[in-house]
Amino acid sequence: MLFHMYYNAFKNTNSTFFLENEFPESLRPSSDDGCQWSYSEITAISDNYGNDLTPLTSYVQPDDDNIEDQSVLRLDLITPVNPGESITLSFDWNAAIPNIMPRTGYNKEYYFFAQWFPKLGVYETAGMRYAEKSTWNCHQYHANGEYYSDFADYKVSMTVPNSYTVASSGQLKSKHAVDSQMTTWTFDCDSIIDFTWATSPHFTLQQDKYKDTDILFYTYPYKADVSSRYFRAIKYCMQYLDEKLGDYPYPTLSIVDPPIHGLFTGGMEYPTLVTSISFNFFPEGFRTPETLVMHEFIHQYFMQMVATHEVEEAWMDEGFTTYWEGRILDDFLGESSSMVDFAGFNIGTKEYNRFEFLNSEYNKSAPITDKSYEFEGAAYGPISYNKTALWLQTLERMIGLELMDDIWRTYFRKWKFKHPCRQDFIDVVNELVKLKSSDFPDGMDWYFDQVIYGTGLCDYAITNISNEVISTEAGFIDNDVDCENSTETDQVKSTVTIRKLEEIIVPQRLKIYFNNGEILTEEILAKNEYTELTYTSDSEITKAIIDPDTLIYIDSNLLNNSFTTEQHSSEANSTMTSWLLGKFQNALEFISLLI
Amino acid sequence: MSNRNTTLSIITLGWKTALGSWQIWTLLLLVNFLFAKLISAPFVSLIDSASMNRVMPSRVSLTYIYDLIQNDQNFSSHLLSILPITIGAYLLWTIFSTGGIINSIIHNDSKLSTFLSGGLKYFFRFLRLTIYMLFLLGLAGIISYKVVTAGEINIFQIDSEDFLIKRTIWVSICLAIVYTLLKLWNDWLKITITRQDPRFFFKQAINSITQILNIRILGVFLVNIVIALGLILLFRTIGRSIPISAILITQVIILIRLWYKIANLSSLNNLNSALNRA
Repeated sequence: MLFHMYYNAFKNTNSTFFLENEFPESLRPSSDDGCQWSYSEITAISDNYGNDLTPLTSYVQPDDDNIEDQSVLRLDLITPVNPGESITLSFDWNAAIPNIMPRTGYNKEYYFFAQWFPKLGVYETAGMRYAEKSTWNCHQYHANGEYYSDFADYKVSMTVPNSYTVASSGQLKSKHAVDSQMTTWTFDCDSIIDFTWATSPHFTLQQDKYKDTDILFYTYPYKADVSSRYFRAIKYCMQYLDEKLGDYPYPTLSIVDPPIHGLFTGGMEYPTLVTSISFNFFPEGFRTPETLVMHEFIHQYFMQMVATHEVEEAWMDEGFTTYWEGRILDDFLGESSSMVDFAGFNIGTKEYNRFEFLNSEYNKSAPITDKSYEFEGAAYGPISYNKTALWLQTLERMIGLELMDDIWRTYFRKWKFKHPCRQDFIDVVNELVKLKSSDFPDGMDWYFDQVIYGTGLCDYAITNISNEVISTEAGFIDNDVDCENSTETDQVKSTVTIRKLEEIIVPQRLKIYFNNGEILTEEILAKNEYTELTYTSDSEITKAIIDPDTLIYIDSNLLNNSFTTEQHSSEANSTMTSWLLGKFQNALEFISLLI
Repeated sequence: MSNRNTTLSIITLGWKTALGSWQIWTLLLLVNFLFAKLISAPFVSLIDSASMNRVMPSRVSLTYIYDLIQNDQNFSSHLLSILPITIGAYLLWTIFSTGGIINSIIHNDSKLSTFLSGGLKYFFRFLRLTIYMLFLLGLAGIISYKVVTAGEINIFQIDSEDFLIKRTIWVSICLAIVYTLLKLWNDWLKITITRQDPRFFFKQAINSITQILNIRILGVFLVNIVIALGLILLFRTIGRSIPISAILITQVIILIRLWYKIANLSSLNNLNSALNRA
């Protein structure tokens, strides 16, 4: 059996976690402050047959053979567990909570316990995900990437000083004083993949409710006012997902907004407990609290209930969540200002995703199928989160929102409380698209091959429109006696040139405008770098637009999707020009006021 | 005539002078517009070249601006190369025009020749004064930054961000007061230089420090700021309820700021004259 011993990643500087990522000095335990390194060790372990298994434990390194890394523990059993049988293990373990480490640790009087106990790996039976034969799936703790574990029922008791409040996964079942100093809190929760808790004497608790779920918000008193923003956003998000996917089945949802010295734990998802980040000087127009709390809550669906592998297929939780976050935030706050709406400056989620992905120097460096720790440089975020959100938005626009919602609902209901892999998602998409979409009767493999397995970008442009009046042929045409000069007919031969500037090939809608007012719309598939489309008509083509409804949102340059034969300054250009001029005038006059 | 009435009449006279000097503020507005046009020209040309053959969306969205910048690498480099030169040139023009404004005010003559001769006459003295002013502003900025970041500010060591916010607010208030006093000193000294015409102005600069602490000088200076802000606010409120183009709104707001500049210098000049008579 394999166990995750995550706290051992913070045991020494040669752990795989630290070798993969240099953390700032401020995050490293200082030798001046005493030993603040962390560890986790099993001191005694036995099975239900009474066998002492302690000598049969050893550390293994399935990913990189780094013998200094002790984040995975192997336990050899004396009595084999045959199919259909079970085994009960009892163990004693010691752990030291680190001081300020990514996502866990303590600082001052704030304690956050995440990945804090020896956590069993996932035993994947043959045929499950990519397992050809039954085997343990248990990765070491890497600097990039998150977790993967099986569903379990938890009952956890923690004894803390009387003055401390506990925020935890699950529902509080009992709370009783051990003595005049200490209190034991007991929580339980069924069918979750992890268990996390936090405690501090400074926590204030505020509560709200969505249907049967208690929403518990924990923060420090100095920023308790932010609760109304959280409650409004989270209830909207819960209702949205309830309607689109299915209900949130747990009786509680805890939100922890850490104090500034606990920022290292902010913005993270755990089963039935999420953490966010806010500052008490944030104006309403900065949507960070709303964005974060919604993002982390959506993970309750894509990570917790549909428990994909966060290390091997990070895009299936982070990308899916980013896509849903965009949908819900746009619906909640308006498409053009769902991320920032401050002092006349607006940013929406779609623009943000395009910027993050297309502006990244790593956007073609790897397919999204890479394991999280295999991405080079800063590629992990833009590719796992933003690229996935972009191609999902494009898929939604190509097949239609109704069918897309049908796919999500089917995928969620089929795979909740299970561990699907990418092929399981692809299969659901293909099955429903083949059944319901007349545009794509062969399914979407052609698309997934490019956006999931490929590294290319997408950019189609219309580069030219030419119109030429057709003339009759010159010379001896129908007889050998008389030759006549060519004469112009009333027919025009027009050519539209489309250029494919990047690798991705997608079917496109082309809209052509003729001078006589006729509009021709046709579906095209431009596979080559240049495609010339020729039309004969009694009127010239004046304008052509590829993807006129902006279905292909993954297209990296939407500006070049159209071409007009007449140069013109559009309304948008005039607005832009006036805007620029005004800004410069104001800036100059402001500078002159200084002196 | 009581002091209050005198101060009120000084301010009123200042704004009357400003509104009456239409040749000057028209020129200033025109030059401001031309400078802005100069800076924006390469960008407008870029927008045109990128979009003249394109069907553009009717709304200027961030996607549009982003795609424009992303797909034309020259956009940012143009901005970086043209801004320092243009700002420098505009500062020199401001120094020149301030000399012209004060000369016109003193001679109660808003003819272009008076404006130009004043600009030329006081240019180098005002240039020196501007350098001192920028130096002092820079110094105040550095001190403010040092105060805000004093001590070891490690987010993992502080209990809450409250004290940082409070510290920043207090430093900002102090900085605003220091800037106001420096600006008043700068404007008062310019009036003094123009009226006394010294070649070097060290003595006048020192005297101005004590003079600006006079409640009437401070009062006139602050009331003029309040009037200008009030006018801008009023116009913005009116502008929201009537259909008016963005470029026109900008022109009116710039104009109010130019009126303020002339009115303030005129008021200070009248006050300087009144105080000297007393």
